[in-house]
Amino acid sequence: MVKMDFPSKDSGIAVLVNVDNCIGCRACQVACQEWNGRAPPKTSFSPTFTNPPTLMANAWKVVMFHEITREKILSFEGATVKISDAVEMVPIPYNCLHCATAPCARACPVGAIKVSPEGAVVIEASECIGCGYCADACPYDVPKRGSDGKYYKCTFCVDRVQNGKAPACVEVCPANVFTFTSMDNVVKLANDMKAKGKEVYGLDVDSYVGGRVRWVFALSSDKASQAFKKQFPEKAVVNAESLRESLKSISIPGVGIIAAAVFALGVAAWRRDRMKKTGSKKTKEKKQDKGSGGE
Amino acid sequence: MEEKEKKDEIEILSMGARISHTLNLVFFTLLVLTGIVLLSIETFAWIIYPIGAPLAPLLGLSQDTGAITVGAQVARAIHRFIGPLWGALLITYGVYLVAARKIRVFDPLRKPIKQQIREAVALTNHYAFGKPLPEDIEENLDRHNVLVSYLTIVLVIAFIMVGGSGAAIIYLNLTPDQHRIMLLIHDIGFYLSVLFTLAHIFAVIHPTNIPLLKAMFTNGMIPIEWAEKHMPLYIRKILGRKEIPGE
Repeated sequence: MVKMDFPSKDSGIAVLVNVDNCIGCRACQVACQEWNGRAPPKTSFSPTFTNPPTLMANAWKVVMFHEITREKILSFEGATVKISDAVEMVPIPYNCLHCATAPCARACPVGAIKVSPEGAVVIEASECIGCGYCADACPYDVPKRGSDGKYYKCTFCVDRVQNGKAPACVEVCPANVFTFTSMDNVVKLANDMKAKGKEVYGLDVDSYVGGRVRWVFALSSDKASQAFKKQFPEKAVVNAESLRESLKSISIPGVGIIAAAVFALGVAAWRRDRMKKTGSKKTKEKKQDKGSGGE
Repeated sequence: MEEKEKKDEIEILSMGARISHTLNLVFFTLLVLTGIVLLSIETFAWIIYPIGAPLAPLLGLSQDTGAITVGAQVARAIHRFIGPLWGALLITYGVYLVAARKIRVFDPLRKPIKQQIREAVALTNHYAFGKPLPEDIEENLDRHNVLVSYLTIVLVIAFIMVGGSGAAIIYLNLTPDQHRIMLLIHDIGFYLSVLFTLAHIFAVIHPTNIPLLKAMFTNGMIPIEWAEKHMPLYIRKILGRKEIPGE
């Protein structure tokens, strides 16, 4: 009735996010809201450019601005100035990473999170019961509770993708940040970038998310060492949820085996009891026979 | 009292104990059925399908996937209602038992640990494999044996884990990390309670203990002859005190 089928992590669609190209214009953020008909969240002030400060039920894509410091050398008419701790902003367009074996989909107790054959992980809002297990299971803090009690997140614009179009955010980007293509191509492109000294996030992550995500991020190593650290968890795993899953996989067959053993021992005990009663009955009858024979 | 002693039956389970046990049985079963659905929908969706299927069209959902959604939501609502209700009843009954000094299930733990282990091994071999009990152990069996005490400890731990985490999930405004830990504790507590239940079912449907099973679901009385064989120490105690209390 509820079956979870994940397409192979090597097949389906993926997006390579070349973060170095991002100019932080937030066009992707606006396009996402517009295409998906989400009301814009009220602006709040925080010590960062990021607005809203996190993903929200109405903001499935948010450009996260990370403040980093790095050494900069400015050259001017033959003179060079070295600035050791130059502050820089790194904008990372962030949304659901669409894990290869999405833990949110595994955790959903009603199977409301569907995985399309292309690999898009989609919450079917009409089926969501608002339990929040998906948010508990997500290592990237993606699903968010809406005012109606249901959970929402990026759908990979599955409605566009299945009609031959790129996701809205990809299409609108003026800086060519996103490359929307097959997973094969993304792996090749990302490996090329790696070879050029960039750091890549998403190709080789924890097995908890299936070892790979479908939104792969590349950024110059000197920026990535700080920005990726701030954006992505060190390990893409939720320990408590991972332990729950392991316990569940052992316990359900385990309880079955123990129950069968208990049943077998019970049957054996009843058999012994019956044999004992039959034995004592026979002995009684023999005694009675002897007694009557004596008379 | 003396008149009661002359009868061939004694009351081993009071009316309160039997009512409480029946309530526990009903509530525990309901909580298990509704809980396992939320624990593993891929295995137990069939439990809620018959509930959700007729309700889904009324809510404008498809009968197939909607049935699971509605069924699971009903299961979750029942789970979150029954859990606190049963918890409150258990706490009330537990306080009464402690206040009235009626808890005797831990009496076997007063024995030295070596003797407890010897008794536990002998009882396990007796119940599981039909080996005869050593005479000294058989003569000193109390109202509850040491295995019952150990299992009750497992049950108490399980209830504290399940009840505490369940109450926290429902009533406290937890952070995501706290919520995850509480769910994990809830699961572990549930597995422990399942282990207890399996052992408990084995013990009560064992041919030796059928009089106890009958007593629980009828009038709480057991044949005194059976009691003298299976809980001789207890019988000696109550005959010595000239009282036959139910627990």
